[in-house]
Amino acid sequence: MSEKTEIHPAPPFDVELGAVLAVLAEAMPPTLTPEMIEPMRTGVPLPVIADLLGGRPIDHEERRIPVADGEITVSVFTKQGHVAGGPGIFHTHGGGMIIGDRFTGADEYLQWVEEFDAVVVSVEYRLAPEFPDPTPVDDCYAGLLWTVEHADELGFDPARLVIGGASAGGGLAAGVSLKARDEGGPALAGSLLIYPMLDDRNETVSSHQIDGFGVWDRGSNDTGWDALLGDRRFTDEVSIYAAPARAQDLSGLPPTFIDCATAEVFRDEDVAYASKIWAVGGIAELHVWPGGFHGFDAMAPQAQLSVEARAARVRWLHRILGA
Amino acid sequence: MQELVGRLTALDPEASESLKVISYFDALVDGHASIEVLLRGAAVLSGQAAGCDAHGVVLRVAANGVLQRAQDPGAPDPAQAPWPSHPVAHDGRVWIERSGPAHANDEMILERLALAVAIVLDRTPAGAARRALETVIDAGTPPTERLEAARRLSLDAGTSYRVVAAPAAGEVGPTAPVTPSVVVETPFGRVRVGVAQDHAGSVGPVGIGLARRPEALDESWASALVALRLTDEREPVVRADDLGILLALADAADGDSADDPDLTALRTLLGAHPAALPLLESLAVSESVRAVALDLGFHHSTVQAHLAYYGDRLGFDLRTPRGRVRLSLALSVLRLTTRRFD
Repeated sequence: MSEKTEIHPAPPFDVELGAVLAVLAEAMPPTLTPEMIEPMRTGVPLPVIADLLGGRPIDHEERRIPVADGEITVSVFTKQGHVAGGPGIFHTHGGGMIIGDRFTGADEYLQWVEEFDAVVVSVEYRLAPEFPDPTPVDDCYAGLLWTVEHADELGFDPARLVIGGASAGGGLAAGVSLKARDEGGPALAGSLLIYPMLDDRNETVSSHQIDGFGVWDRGSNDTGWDALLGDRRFTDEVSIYAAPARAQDLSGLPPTFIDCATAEVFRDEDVAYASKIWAVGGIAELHVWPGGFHGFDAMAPQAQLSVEARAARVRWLHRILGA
Repeated sequence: MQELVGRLTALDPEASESLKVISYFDALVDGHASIEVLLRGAAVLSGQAAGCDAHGVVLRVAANGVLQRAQDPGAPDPAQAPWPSHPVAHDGRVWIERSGPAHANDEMILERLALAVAIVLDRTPAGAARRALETVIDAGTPPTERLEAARRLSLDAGTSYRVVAAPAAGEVGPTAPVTPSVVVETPFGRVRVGVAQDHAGSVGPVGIGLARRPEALDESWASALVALRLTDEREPVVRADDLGILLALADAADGDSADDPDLTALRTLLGAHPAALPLLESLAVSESVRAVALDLGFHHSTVQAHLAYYGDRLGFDLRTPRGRVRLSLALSVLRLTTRRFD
């Protein structure tokens, strides 16, 4: 972005979401710095899968799967009384490439297990900075290949497999979709990119507007991308699989769902990604929720905007999966 | 990302988190949130459904944040249920559908919810009109402010209006009301007040004030309240126009009439003979003893005998014109001092 461009204040938060943020932000400064990665991992309790599953008619199985330099874990979720041959969802979790685990976001994907009788596979990719790019996206891609290879055993139709994730998980889902396209990998039925983290360059208007407030602000975004890319960040060495916003050609992708909020760093890179898909005649659905901050529906699932945002994803999945 | 800052969920049942509750509702009020959003906040924070019934707004939000237009089938009537609740704006209330022991933050959630709902109601056009009406009839407010409030109510400065008063649970209509009604606290209980240009055909109880220009509607209100206090089953609609000097008497009665001998005697008589009241009331409004007898279905000699006895007790002769005037005034003052609207 040229230095002459004037940066206006970000659009205001939705009233209800703003109030939630006012309460919750007391526990967390808006900017996540590198020193905070370790405390964030150990100090903030991650969702406990037993709690998330509590009462739901869903079976959980952990599998160790091979990757280039070792093994990683995936979790497989199947509805009790599952009917084989339905849809599958391969999930890549969020957390800025630096935190979170395969249960991050489970409260939403477990609903999909129930709603669609979908088999959900959530991958525990290894995190930056200990495992910088390309490990996270390669782990996810390996997880996708394993999932498709085991479709029969897991009980879903590989022709009805959707990849999806939120935030960094949305970026990884986009990167894996590109990789599958370029390497002749599995044909995906859809790509569900929930406020995806796509662009290491941090130069859009929205990346400047959300600075020092909100959730996952400009500085946090620097922390995440620096951890993932190190010295290669901002250079031509960054692959389109790590930072899908750098892809010039978005043709040949599966139908893609993208959502984001007006008051988040990722707004403009997400909107631009949808535009690039349309530019080459691709299929994309874009929702930009007014007054949301990054991850608004996870922090305030009961808020009106959150309910509508999550319902829009479910409606898209219904159309894509024919379920 | 919820892994960064958590998620808004029901508060700890044991630990008080007043600050969180206050800042949450303050932010909603600052942002002009709707009542639905306020209720959703209360429902999410308390982990229970929350509801509101105020100024005709009846809403309920379930614990999962979903707006419900109606109660669950078989659920208790909110007005009867033993749920914790808090009054809102005179005649309304908000509640949390908590059965069993209250949680540490219930009271604070209800208090802040009620405060926020009252502010939201105040901001609506109807709320603004109610506030203006309160101002227009308030004798303690400077005339310039009352005139300004009258303008906000679109009252014409050159036209006379009447304040109409009814018990809070009642109706000020049917009228051609030019304003919404508002419930105000009076020393005699909660009274619903409206302003009308003309008034006819109300079933009552209702008191209709003197016709006054907007700047003097405080006087119309004072007279309407006296008229309302003088209503009874026999005369449910009382017009201040018909009261004449009784209005002045009411002023005096509101001063110090407790030790008036006639009033004291009447109280003593009614204490010993409650059945005397219908007969005395009938006498006060009837042409003759014969009319009283017809009114009550007694033989007129029975009425004569009672009047003689009651007259002895009261200390004045009820069969003389002056005695009937004294009776009528004493009955009016008694009603003025005892009538309550709760």
